[in-house]
Amino acid sequence: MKTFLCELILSCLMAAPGARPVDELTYGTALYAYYQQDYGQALLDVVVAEQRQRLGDDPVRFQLARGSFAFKERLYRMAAESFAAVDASELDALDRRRLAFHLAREHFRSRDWGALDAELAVLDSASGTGPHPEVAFMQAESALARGKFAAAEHALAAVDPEDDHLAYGLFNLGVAYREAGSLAEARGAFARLGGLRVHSEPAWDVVQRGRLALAVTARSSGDPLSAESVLGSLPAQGRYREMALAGFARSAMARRDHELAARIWLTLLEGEGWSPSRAAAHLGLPMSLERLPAPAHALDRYRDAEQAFEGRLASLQQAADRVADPVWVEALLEAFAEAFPEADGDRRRQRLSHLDAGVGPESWLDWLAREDVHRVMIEWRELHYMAGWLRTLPDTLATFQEITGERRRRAARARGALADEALAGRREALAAELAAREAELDSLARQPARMDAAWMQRLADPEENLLLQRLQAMAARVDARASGPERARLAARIRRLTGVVFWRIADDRSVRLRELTRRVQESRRLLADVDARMDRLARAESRFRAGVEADFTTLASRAQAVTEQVATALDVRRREVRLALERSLQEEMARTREHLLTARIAIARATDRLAAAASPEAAP
Amino acid sequence: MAVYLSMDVGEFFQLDSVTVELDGDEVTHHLYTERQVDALLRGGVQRLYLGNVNQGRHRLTAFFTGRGPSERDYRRAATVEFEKTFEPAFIELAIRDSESKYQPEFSAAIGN
Repeated sequence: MKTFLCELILSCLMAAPGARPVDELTYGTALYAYYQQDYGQALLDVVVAEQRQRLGDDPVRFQLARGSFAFKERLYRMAAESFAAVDASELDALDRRRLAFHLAREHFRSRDWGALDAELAVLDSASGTGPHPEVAFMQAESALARGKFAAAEHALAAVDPEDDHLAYGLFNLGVAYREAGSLAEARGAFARLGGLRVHSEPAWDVVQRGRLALAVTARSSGDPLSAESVLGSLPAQGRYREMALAGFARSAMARRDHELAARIWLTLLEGEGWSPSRAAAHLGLPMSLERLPAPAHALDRYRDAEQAFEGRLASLQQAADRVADPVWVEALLEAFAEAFPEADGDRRRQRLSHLDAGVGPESWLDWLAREDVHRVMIEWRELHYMAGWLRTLPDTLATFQEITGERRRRAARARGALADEALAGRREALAAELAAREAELDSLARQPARMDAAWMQRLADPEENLLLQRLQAMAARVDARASGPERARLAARIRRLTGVVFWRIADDRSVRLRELTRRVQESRRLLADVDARMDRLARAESRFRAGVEADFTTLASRAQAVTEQVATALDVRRREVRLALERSLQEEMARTREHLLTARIAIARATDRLAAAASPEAAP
Repeated sequence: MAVYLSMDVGEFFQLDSVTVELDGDEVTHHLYTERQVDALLRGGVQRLYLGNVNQGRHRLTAFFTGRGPSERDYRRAATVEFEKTFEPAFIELAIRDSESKYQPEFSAAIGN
């Protein structure tokens, strides 16, 4: 029936269990932000809960959460301090595992393998259902760092095939095998990676990289057909298309199918911009053509390559000159902050092209995406936003100060009203009246029942009081006007009626006393409420001055100190980015010079060959 | 006063939006992304509304819309009446699965 009514009126007043305590809700709020990867908000929620002492019965989880959220926010020192502050004696088994997990993450980040193993051992010994995928991944990485391939494989075997961590683990395992010269094992790891069915975009990217690595390893192992088969499984479009095409072309050359190789190199050269694969195509195309029956075209293509490399070198030199200019680097960083890589690819390219059309946006993105540069760029972006926020802070503070000032003025007016409207005097009168009632109640409780008007009227309800007054008036009239037996008869009747009222009151005396007591208590509560309000009004102004305004002053001076620290940190990041870009440009210029040299040697060789073919001595 | 939303299991109800009315006036409306619903299902609690309210008696109603059992459109409400005093008021809206009825249950309760 209730369900029916609920559905009918679309509304239910449910007899629900009470809400959770607010401390629980606060913790849940932090988790809500954390699960949406809003780690800054999650951290803020925890810190606010700590400041307000809303930690509930389990404050340790707040400490662990603060450490974990700070870690995710890359505030590593804060994370380490949070974990260090946890009192080990306060931890139960579950907390100990939580702490071990967070510490393991921190040791993994800092590549402290010994400390990592100690925390992983805690997790391993407590695990009843197999390790968490991230734990297994860290176990594998720790093993790889020591060259223990079997242990790494064993750890990865426990990871769910659809979990992203397996993709990352297998890729790193394959790379480690290849670096150790174990090509067959590397191919095994990359092959397993290539067959994974992952669901997230980053993991899918790793799978494609794994397939490319498998193709490269297969070709290195002298198996170009397998390499081509793997490359064929890569998507026709996407960031690895050019690498896959270059891989195909190299495989074709290895199989001496130079015509196919030339066609693939030509396809690569039809694209726009510059990339390592396209640079390889500039040399690969004439190399393939040289081995075809009409090698004369090769010389033209080598000359095209020479021109392309010379142009590229000039663009790189211009870019290097720009990078030396701090103003230009600042503009580059602004473009990065405005069009964050994950946000809008086209906008990002447009902004970068506008800054430097010479080397092309893809090259800039490649250099900026390098792990060390990217880390600094992220830090710079955070600091940049912080600096912007700090710039607007004085205005915000001024607004809040104005609001606070107004509230203080109102508090002062309210305090003045206490005196102006004689509220304090009225409160005193109320208190005196209450005291009188209390005294009366006390005396009524002590006195026995008496059939006199004064006693009865204090306990009578309004109707009874009216009746008693009428009887008193009638008695007075009888005294004044009646006489003889008639007077005695009427007086006796009035006494009888008064007695009826008296017995009614006397019978209910205890109930009436309780009701009076209840009213007095209610009045006492109201008086306490009035006292509390008056006290708040009286002290509000001084509290505003001592509390909120003092806080504003402290905040303003702290904001100034933080602004200076942020400015210094921004300078450091700018310098680091500039140096990293200069390094990248120098490396790219060195590679391009090598390509240019190769092209010029090939031109000389091809020219000699043509000259030899054309000279009379060469004729049979 | 603050209004929180929590969710448990979610097998019988896929949340799309919540509208909160205070004394008949809409005070907030939220449309959920997949990630936000996931955060609620994993134990997160959303602070849905934070605002001032006069002391005295009030009535809060939350309307939940989404997909119910058998992928049908589903709209339900939960109401709570409360007395606002000097102290802050906390209200938890909760969506839970009722295994016995194979239906979602919606509730609103006053916290402390």
